[in-house]
Amino acid sequence: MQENTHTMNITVNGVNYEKEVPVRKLLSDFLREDLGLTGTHVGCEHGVCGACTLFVNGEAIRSCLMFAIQADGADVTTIEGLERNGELHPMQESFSECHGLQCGFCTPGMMMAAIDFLKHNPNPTEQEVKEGMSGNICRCTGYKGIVDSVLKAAPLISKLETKSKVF
Amino acid sequence: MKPSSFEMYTPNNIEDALSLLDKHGDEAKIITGGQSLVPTINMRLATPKSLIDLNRIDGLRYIKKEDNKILIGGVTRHHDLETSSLIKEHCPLLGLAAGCIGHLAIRYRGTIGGSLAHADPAATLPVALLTLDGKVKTTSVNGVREFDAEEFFYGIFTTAMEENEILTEVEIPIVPKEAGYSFSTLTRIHGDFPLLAVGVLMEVEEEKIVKARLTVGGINPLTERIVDVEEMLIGKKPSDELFYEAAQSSKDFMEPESDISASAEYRLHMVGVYVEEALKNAWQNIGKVGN
Ligand SMILES: Cc1cc2nc3c(=O)[nH]c(=O)nc-3n(C[C@H](O)[C@H](O)[C@H](O)COP(=O)(O)OP(=O)(O)OC[C@H]3O[C@@H](n4cnc5c(N)ncnc54)[C@H](O)[C@@H]3O)c2cc1C
Ligand code: FES
Ligand code: FES
Repeated sequence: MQENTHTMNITVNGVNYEKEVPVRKLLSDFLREDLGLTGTHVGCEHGVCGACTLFVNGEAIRSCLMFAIQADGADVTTIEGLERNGELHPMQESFSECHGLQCGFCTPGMMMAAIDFLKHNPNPTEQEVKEGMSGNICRCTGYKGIVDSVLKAAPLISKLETKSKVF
Repeated sequence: MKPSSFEMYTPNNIEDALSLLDKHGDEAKIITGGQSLVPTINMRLATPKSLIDLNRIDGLRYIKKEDNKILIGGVTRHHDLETSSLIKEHCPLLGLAAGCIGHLAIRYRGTIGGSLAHADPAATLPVALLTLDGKVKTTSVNGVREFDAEEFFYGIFTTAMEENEILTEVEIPIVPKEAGYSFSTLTRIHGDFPLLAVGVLMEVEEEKIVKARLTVGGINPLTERIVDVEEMLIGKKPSDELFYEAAQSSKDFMEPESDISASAEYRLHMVGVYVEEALKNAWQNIGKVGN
């Protein structure tokens, strides 16, 4: 059967792409398979685990619950877009320092959700971090390192100059 | 790819969306937030031939005040509801109900129209709509229909809507300043679908309850107000004893089932606990709407 496709235009981590994409392809699969950006991980594919979380037009959403062609014209940032000029984003630094990851499967989604959470609550308490991050599941760390990482990153991100903030 | 093949239409205006929907009939599905529909498509529980995406239509995402009503467009996001100052001022219960839906990533995309049309028995917005005496407006090529909250929900995933209709607007009457309200959910994990959601609206005059609305969601297949318990409250003086009795009576209208998340006994017990708390909270915050 001929696959039904649409042509779309999308900006990912500052690079513009024009692509012909199967209509039924999820945004997560498009980024991984068509653009080779395998930093976005796919766990449950029904919105529950958070592994596929990334930014579409400045909001951290589940890329497994959006069809790629729905992102036609959108500005997308994936985990690959956090690093700037060879320097890690403070969230990445903090995860590295506080043992915020073990196997790393949940980590890209965790960091995207954490950056978005801090946008709404730049100076959170530990309990607020736990609640704010509850949409992302980790099978390894027991969450302690993740909560520590987010708490450590918070003041560092607040101090960033606006232009070097991701959002 | 997980989903089966389909065609996607992205109309720019409501007229085009309505005629597409009419033309494709039951082979087509509306998609707005996708937060309930896409999981079912990914699991191939749903295999629509066509999807009609309403996200590119201007003018379906708004929250505005008109006379004594708040009007909300069908494609307004849960996150819009939880952060709206109009809602905070005039019907804060709705903002609370939206704010406890899943997680922020879900609330950015999920819409009020999608949640109400989907009619999940554990969803929170139907509890708010019923408690606040809201109305739902649907539009098709044949015109506009309007439903009271009570007429809209039929049961698990079923509503009064026809296949060619779009949920275009929700209307919430402004809650008077002298009313008290409460909205609470019982969840096993922060952000999970609730085991139980309770909404209360109460008005007291000269030390007597003159208006009471009580809705319990998450237990029965159909989320409904418990009218018998509301009637039991009206005309009485608010007191801890009255609220305890009302909460215990609420249990008579519940038919909980046991599953992996909780036993029927636990659910029933918690209906008593939560309704009592909700009635007390509503009474205590009387006069605090908008503050
Ligand atoms: C991880 C997760 C956790 C969640 N937790 C909760 C929770 O705690 N509480 C809760 O209430 N919900 C929860 N939800 C569901 C969420 O609220 C959905 O956003 C909502 O149920 C559906 O809205 P939507 O806009 O995403 O609709 P969609 O998924 O796009 O559509 C759902 C259904 O409604 C129809 N539809 C959509 N919009 C319209 C319209 N305007 N007119 C007519 N028909 C329409 C579609 O055809 C489809 O059948 C959760 C979802 C996820 C993924
Ligand atoms: S893969 Fe998207 S939420 Fe699990
Ligand atoms: S580090 Fe392995 S799942 Fe989180």
